[in-house]
Amino acid sequence: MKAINCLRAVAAMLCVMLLAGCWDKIEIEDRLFVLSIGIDGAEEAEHQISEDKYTLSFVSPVVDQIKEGPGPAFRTYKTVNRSVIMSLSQLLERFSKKQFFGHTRNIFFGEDIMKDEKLLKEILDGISRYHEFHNSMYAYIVPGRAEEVFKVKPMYDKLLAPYIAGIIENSDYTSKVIKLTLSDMIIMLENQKGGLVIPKLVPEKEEVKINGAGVLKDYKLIGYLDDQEAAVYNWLTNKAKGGTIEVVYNDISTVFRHYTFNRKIEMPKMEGGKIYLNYNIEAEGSIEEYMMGKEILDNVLLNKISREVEKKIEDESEELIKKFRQEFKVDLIGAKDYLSKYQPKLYKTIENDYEKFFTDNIVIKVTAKVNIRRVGLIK
Amino acid sequence: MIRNNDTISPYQLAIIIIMTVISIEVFSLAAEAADNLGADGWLTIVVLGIIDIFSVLIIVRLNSIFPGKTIAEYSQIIIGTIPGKILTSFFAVYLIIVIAYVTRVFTEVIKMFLLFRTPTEVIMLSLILVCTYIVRGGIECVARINELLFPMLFIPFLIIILFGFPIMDFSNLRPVLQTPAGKVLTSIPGMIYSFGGIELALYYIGFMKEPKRAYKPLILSVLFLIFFFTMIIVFCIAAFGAKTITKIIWPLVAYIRLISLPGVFLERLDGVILSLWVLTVFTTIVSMLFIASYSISKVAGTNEHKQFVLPLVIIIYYLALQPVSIAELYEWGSIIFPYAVAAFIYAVPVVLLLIAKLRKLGVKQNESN
Repeated sequence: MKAINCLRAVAAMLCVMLLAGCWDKIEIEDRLFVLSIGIDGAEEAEHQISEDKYTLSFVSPVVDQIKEGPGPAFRTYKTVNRSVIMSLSQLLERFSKKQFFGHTRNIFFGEDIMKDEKLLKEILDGISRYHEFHNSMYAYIVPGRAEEVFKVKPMYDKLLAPYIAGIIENSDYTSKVIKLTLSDMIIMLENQKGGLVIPKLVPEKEEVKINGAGVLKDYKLIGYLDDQEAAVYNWLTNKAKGGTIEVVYNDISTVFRHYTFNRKIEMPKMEGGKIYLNYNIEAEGSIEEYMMGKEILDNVLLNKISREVEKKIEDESEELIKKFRQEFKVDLIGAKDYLSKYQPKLYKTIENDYEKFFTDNIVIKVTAKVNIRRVGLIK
Repeated sequence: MIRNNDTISPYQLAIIIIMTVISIEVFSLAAEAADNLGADGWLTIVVLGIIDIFSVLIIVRLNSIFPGKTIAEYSQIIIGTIPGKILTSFFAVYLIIVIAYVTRVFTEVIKMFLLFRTPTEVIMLSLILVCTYIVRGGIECVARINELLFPMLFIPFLIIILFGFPIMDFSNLRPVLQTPAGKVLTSIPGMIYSFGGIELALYYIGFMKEPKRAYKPLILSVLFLIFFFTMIIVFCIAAFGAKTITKIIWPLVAYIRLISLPGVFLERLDGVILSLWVLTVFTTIVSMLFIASYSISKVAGTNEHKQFVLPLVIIIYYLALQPVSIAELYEWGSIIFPYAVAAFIYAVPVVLLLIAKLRKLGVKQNESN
């Protein structure tokens, strides 16, 4: 009996010692949190060997400098390599800590990556396959090189990555900022067969500007939208929430702030091989600025101003639709989405030749309805 | 022989079936559903679920002819001792393969998302060895562990999954019901495995005092499964769109990774969910391993099943390590399971019931009482 008890004790000890090992333990001090990644095509001068294709820049915070330290609160590191994952493992050869990408907030794509279909596809595959990356990080295109972003020393923030991510999160209050997570980006590229609208980030000396957007077709950059066009893109794709629209009424610049912004598409008719689509836009908000000494609390006046805002929305929307149809020749404004979801039978007949159909045979009319509910604190 | 305290209640039966059916297939379910029917992917599950309700009715009907007996016992009465034993051993072999498959898939998921450097062997062995402890305790332990883990699993899971609403776009489910009926029917064979585990009712009803009371819990549990699977498919398709989702191996995990609770401190919930998910896989293995060892004990003609549990672990462990890669693993699964599951859920109960009826076998209900 004693021997059996002894055996049991030994077995229990063995279990504790052999099974309870933690192979995956990494102390938090040993982790280096990478908060942003920038990806560029490698320049000739940077090549170490001829196969190198990418320059990856990483930025991570310096923990003891964040609160009080005099030095920079983040540091960046640059690698040149053949693929994303090779670069990540290259970091392990250069740092004592282990990099961790679970909290990466931003990913910046240089312009040259976006112009090269093969490079972009390879990168996206590497990123979506790697388990540590969370697809909820934000994606941007940087005109020029993405590494430039990391040279910015933000004026009011110690850290760069939360600063930039914070700007993107303001998209709830301003419609000029396009919010695009990596997951949205991959989904959109998949659904649009390589079409994408991605926010453009312009690095300056002490700040960055989210300024317009890049437009991709067949995984290649074909042009940029400017600031206002980015807002219109948000309107047309039903992504806008809050934001401001300025109109000139009686030579007075009037600012309308919308809190809700809804877009609905309907197809009133199909005639002579042409599809007519109506974009019905409905916005609700308040007047924020008019002119001292003039009363705005007047139903007739408000109606006139809302007509004016509606006209502006309609004109600018139609302008952008024209740009997509004639200049970019790619449907990223939701018409295809609508047709495939709500008119599946019709869409099947035009699916194969949709691009040509979009430029020639789809007529889009924008109708806006603006409700001014409030006028602020003074009459 | 079934001892007096070795009975389960109707509620426990329902829980056992639910927890057995839900295992690793929920990770990849949405991708396969969308692959078959696009945005209408959930339709297959609904149709299949309705078919399975009928098969459950047949299973209970068959069992209520032989109250207090499991299929391992009454199949020997219906089709003769030797064929009955062969059928039971087939059942055991099938269950062992399923356990090995489940263990391996789960290990792959865990290794991908949680324990990157822990050896595969350790994850597997620690999972199966804990299961053997429960299984050796007998039917009551199995029923109770299922009962205990059911709320622990589903309440947190349902709460967390609902936080995904901001990333969902329900227009992704459109166009609705555009798939021709023929295509829905042809997509069913590929999805049959998702309800695999219902066939264990053939055994578990035998442990109930009154098999007739099994109708309601079983139908309810199939309805719960339909609801649960449909919800997961709908949420995943709404979050990713039917096109993207077919490219993801485990859409449910990807979906949970995108969820962030309000406030930054609770992001990245995949770790939480995956550690909860250990429990469903655990219960699946427990209920299957119990039936596998029970079947073997019936084939061997022993009273106890305990002695067969540990040797089975070696077989399961060996089988689970056989597929070289995850691609080979899924290939194996798609070859074996459609046929095996269909055979055990549909063919076996129907054929046995027919023969039993033709031979006018069984105990009259009033006699058994």
